[in-house]
Amino acid sequence: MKFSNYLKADFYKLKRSNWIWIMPLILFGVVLLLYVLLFILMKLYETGEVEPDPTNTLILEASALGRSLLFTAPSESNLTILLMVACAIFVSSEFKSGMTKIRLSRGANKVGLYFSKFIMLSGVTVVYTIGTFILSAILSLCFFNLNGFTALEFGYLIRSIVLSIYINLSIISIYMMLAYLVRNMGGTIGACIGTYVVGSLFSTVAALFQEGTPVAEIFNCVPSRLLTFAGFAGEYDLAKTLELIFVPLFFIVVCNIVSIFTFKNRDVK
Amino acid sequence: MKAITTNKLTKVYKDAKVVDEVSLTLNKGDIYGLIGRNGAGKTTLLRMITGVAKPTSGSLSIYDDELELPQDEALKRIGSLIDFPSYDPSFTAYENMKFTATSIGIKDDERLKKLLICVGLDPEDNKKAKNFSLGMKQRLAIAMALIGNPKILILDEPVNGMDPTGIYEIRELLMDLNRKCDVTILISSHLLAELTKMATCYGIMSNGKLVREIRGEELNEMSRPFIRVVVDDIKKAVPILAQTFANGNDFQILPGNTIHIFKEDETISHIEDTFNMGGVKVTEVAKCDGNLEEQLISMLGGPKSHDEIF
Repeated sequence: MKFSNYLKADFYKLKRSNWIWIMPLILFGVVLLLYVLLFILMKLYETGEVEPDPTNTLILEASALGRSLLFTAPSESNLTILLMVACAIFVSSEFKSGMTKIRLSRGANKVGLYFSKFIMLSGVTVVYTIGTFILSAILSLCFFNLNGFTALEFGYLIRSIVLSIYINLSIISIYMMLAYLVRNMGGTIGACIGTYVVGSLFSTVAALFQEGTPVAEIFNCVPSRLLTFAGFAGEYDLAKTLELIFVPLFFIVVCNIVSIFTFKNRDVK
Repeated sequence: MKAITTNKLTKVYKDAKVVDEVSLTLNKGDIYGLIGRNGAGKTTLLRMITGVAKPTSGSLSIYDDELELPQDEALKRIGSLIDFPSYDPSFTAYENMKFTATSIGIKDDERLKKLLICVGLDPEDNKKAKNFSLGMKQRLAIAMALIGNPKILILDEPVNGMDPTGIYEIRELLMDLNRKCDVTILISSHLLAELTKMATCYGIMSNGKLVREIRGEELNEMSRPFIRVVVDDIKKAVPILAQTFANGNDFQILPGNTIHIFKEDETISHIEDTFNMGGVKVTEVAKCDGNLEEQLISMLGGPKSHDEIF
């Protein structure tokens, strides 16, 4: 059976699924709310109705705030949560409904089916990540400003977009692995949330240690933490560059191997 | 001509042998009824045949005109409904058909619509499958199994939850597919009466084993109307039987001094007189209707008694 048929079928499923359109709308609503709240807060500071926090100077300058929100857009948890839900619906629900069983009973190849899903979800990840940047750019321009945006900054932004996509692919690999292990929607979402919480815990611990120390570097090696580094508008040192290249690659390779092994060796209910 | 054979196919889950060395033969053109109590291993056997579950040991061969095919190639010629009706609940009937067809590379949309009409579903209906009744879900699953004109159909409880009209329609559809399109069918069902209306051979499973395979004609033969006679001395009765009924198929000796006489023109009074004249006392005699369902139930070990709860 041709691999292109699996891709076509999965693309057909994506096109017909409501969640593919509903989730970006939710994302848009949440991001818009964040911009509106920050905008109101900034206006209150400007009018002097509220005293600003002296340690947080970022919010006092519209241009800096707009840039910061743009660069850190994909490291917001919203996108990660959307990817979780996408994995649970797109992979786990197919096990639960028996559609995976139907496809296998028609001679489908398990590795082919897996990669078809992975490619489709990677596509969703790319679209959602770029969409998040575009949305943040539009809202930053509307609510704040991006005055004096240089070519160098634009270069950093492009790098940030590429790195965010790359790291999000490692996140989707982890969530797909969980979906192939758990094989039901609720369980997958639960396992993904658990993983996300552990990742956040690692990020919190990493932040407690001085950057560059071995302990901090170990705790930095979680994809959600790497997302925050992806939004950095400046030069990386060699260690950070290697970390940003190899850590996501490690997660992509290992998680895909575990998923395929599990799928091939466990019976489908 | 063989369509499917299994050779000592076995499935072990943890410590439980769910299917135990099953060697089954499904011939081309047959409607093979697989029967057994709940938990006998029927569904697991069908899951292994359709490639959804891996056998622990044993082998499976699927043929096309005597040529054994590799399993993944063979599965393309098999349509199946295993365990429960599988469908995407968020899709309409047509979308489910389209998704399955796309996955196996079939583009004929008109045929998909015809299949839905054939099983009694409306291809234009926008109702999501999650809102279907159980019978509608079964119909959809059968339509999905028919995508790609399969040469073999493997159906696990296909009429579960259907109304009598639906059961009749699906039976007619399956029999038409078998007769007109030469589709070989392996079907498991708890509805024995329904199964006996279409099956041409039967496999009886018990505790994971295939305890017997029997042709439909053989079962019909065993299910002829008969006269049940109980005598006081079976040893004396045997020579009388041999003398009276030249054909050995006309009677059957069973435990408990019981004799079944299958001769249709025989009367109770003549049988009583014959035995009495030979010095054999008849203690019980009765005419019994032949019943395929009862015959199959007796092969499964007879019905469970409920006396203890009354």
